[in-house]
Amino acid sequence: MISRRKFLKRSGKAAGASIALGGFMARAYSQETTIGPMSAAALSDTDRVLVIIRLDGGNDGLNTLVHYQNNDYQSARPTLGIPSTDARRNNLDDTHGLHPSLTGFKQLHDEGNLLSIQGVGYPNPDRSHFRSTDIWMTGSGSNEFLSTGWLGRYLDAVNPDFPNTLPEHPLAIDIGPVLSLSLIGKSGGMGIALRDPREFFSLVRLGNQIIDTNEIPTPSGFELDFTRQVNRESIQYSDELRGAGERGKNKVEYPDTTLAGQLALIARLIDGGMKSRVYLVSQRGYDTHSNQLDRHGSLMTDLNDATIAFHNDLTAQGHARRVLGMTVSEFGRRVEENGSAGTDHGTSAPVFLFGSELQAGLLGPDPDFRNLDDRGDFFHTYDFRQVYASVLNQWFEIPETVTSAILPSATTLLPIVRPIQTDASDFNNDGIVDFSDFLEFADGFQKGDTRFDIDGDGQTGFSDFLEFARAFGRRRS
Amino acid sequence: MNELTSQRAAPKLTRSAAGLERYVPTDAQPWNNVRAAHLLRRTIFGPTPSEIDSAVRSSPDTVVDQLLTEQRLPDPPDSWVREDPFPRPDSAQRKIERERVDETRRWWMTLIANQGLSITEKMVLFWHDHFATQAIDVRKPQLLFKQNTTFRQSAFGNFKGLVLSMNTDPAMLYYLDGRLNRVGKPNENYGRELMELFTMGVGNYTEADVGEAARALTGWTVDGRLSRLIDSRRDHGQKTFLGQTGNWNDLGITNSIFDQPVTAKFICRKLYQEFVYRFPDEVIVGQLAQILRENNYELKPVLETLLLSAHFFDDTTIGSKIKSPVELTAGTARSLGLKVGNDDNLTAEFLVDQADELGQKLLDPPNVAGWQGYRSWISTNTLPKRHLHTDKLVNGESHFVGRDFYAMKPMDPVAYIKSFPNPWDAIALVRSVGQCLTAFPVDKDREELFLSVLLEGAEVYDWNPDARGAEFRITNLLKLILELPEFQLG
Repeated sequence: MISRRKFLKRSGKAAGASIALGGFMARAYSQETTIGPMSAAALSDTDRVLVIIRLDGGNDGLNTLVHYQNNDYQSARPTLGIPSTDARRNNLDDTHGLHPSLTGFKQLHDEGNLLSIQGVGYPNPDRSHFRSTDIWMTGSGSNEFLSTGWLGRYLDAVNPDFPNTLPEHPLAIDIGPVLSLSLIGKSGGMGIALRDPREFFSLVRLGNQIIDTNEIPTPSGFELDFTRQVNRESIQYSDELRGAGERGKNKVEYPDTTLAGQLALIARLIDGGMKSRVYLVSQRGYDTHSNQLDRHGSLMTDLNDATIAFHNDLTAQGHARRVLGMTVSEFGRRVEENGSAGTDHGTSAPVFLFGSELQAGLLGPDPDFRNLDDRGDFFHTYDFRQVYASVLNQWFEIPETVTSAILPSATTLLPIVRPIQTDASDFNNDGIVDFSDFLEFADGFQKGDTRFDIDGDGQTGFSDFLEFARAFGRRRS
Repeated sequence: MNELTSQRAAPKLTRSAAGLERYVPTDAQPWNNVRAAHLLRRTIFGPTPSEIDSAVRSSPDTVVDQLLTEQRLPDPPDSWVREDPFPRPDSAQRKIERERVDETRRWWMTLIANQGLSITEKMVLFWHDHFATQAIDVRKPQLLFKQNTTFRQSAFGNFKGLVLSMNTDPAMLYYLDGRLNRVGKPNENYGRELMELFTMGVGNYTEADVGEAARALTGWTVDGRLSRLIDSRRDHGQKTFLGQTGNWNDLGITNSIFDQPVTAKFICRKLYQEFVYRFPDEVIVGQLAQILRENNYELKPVLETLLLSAHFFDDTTIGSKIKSPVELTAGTARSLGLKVGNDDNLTAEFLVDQADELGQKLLDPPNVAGWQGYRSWISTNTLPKRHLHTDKLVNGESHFVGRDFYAMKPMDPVAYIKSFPNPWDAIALVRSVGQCLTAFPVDKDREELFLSVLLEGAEVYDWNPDARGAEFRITNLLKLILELPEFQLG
């Protein structure tokens, strides 16, 4: 049997394998749509959650995921290169290691909770912070200008009645002063921005004594509808946020940093029953044109310590299985270091995902140091929109017909989330994985009956029980 | 803000069918407190109940005539306005500069909040937004004061004259680098914005015109608190600007700009957005531009026509303007009858800081394009802050924000409601309070809501404004109305 990692790497390299895998994924996930989020705006506190950590400024991918055996890497980075002995301590395999500060990421990797995707970018890369950020936030092409964000379009698709019918909780929460472009849908913001929750709570008043009338669409009616909508959002959710914040409990200590504080708040809101699907946080300062070693090092430390605390907290709270984390950055940095002990704007870089439901490991071939573009940057292997579409399809269980409307260029998906084997676990073929299947399973399990080899590893064992547990309670298509 | 970007294309709306013909009161569109309040809300900050009442008893012509009467210049903030700015300020002088800029802000906010029945204050803020200049860059309080005075003098005077003043305005020469623009080393900053933001708009000139405008504007510098032309710095060569060749100077290119029909349309579109609605009616804009050109760019005939038009008084327009932070802070204070001053209800500093908190710091627009305005003023972040602000106005309690102390004296709620015609009739009272403070009619639902707050379960006939506890219920009613979504519109 090939290891998962080898399998993933191979599938990433070979287009044919990737397509075949894509077909497999589609089959596995399309079945979930009948009970999935497509069924409407009904949010549930058992829904899956996506937490995006923005690394603002352009993270140096090469010093985050280090090719420590590669001489081309060391010669491109004579002063900034991570020494191979340091990277080896956080190794992912024989040739790849993480930045020495990313000890928590290494732990996540070893426990099967980290997926590192190499070479994520897009064609004709733009090296402007603002433009490339907009491209990543909207999911547009390099020469395409969109006014809606990829998450905004996703939330539009699953909440067709928004904003006429407002969900009971905000669909998305951006822990920032203004709502990210990624959360702008066709009718405006699809989430709320939350600068400082305490200030926010203390400001917002109780009592939603608003009376709706049907205004004709005159200028005054149009603007009144707008102010009413903002009013409803700001008043309604303050109560929900306050309630969730009070009910939720952090079960681990977090470091005293802004990022850690924001992730701690998210963990508390999730634990307190907040039903928002998407959370956004930002870590600033990655534009390391000079003095990179120290600056990048402390950013990595902050990112690592905050992320591992968040993961441990979610695990202790019992929510780890329904939370997926992802890092994004507007670009990586130039392969060759510059003359001021820093690096300039580059192109593709790795994306990291963390959570217990991942097809964990290292995905994608190494970037080619010998084939750089005219500025000395890598060509990308994967389009970031493939990553987004795969997350929407496999994590939020959005059919490909819908993800292709949200992100039209993402035609090939990547294997990111472990599929749930609902069909293979429905032994009595009654359409639902339930207690009667469990009784059959318990019986056959002892006899080693290969009918119960759910994970297809050739034997019936404890790993199959874990797979069965993941499918329990779910319905076939 | 993204909300705004997505709204840039004009939405499909039922717009006023009326044109610039004069509004004539009819049974369907009577001259009543709704229309009188509309005229006043758009032209002054925060009309009071008695101002609305006396406007109703007067006529639209009389009120507009009064609004467009020239005002005397106010007393300056201090005698330093007549001193030259520090030539090379050290850190102690920088501190003095900052204090004087703050003093200028407070002086201006006091004029806004304590204003009389004149369109001047609205126009001064309009011009500040149009010819946006940032104190954070200019720093010199004398120059900022001088520019503000120029806006007052030209508030509804001649637009071309105002543009000519701005071409060589000392604060502007600093802000858009005009003082560095000299022969051989042209600086295009002002020349570009003159056409793009101040007079014509993009698409009506070429990049070559920008370069030639910069050349024509060379030679101006700032000497003390005045601008001065240094001939040796001037480009005396031929310039081809908007198709005309000559040895143009700032007057020459301004003449060319004002020969373009697009220039009158550009400023009339902006006036329309200020006084009518964010999305302009291009037919009306064209007609206003025609009037402006026929009157050699005098603004008063344009404003007079617009403010007395059937288009302006149409039902669809009333209540369609999202209040700016200055309108919300100073305007609300004024409409509640609060006076601004050190021994009065509230300080100018409080209003300046509150407007800043809500996104509009006087003398510091975000950039040369001015404030984004419209829906960018309102978000889930700023709306609760607006509510908190109006609560503070009604409560009138001295308080700290961080280490800043704000002294306040509470309003007299009973005196306030007694400025309405029928304070003893609870139903009439809630209707007229609601209609004074918002641009929307008080329907049955609203009336019940207001009464439930005012009466708290008591019967209508139990209402007595002089009874114990009336004060508390009036303030609750005021806070409720000031937090309604419709209060954000004017």
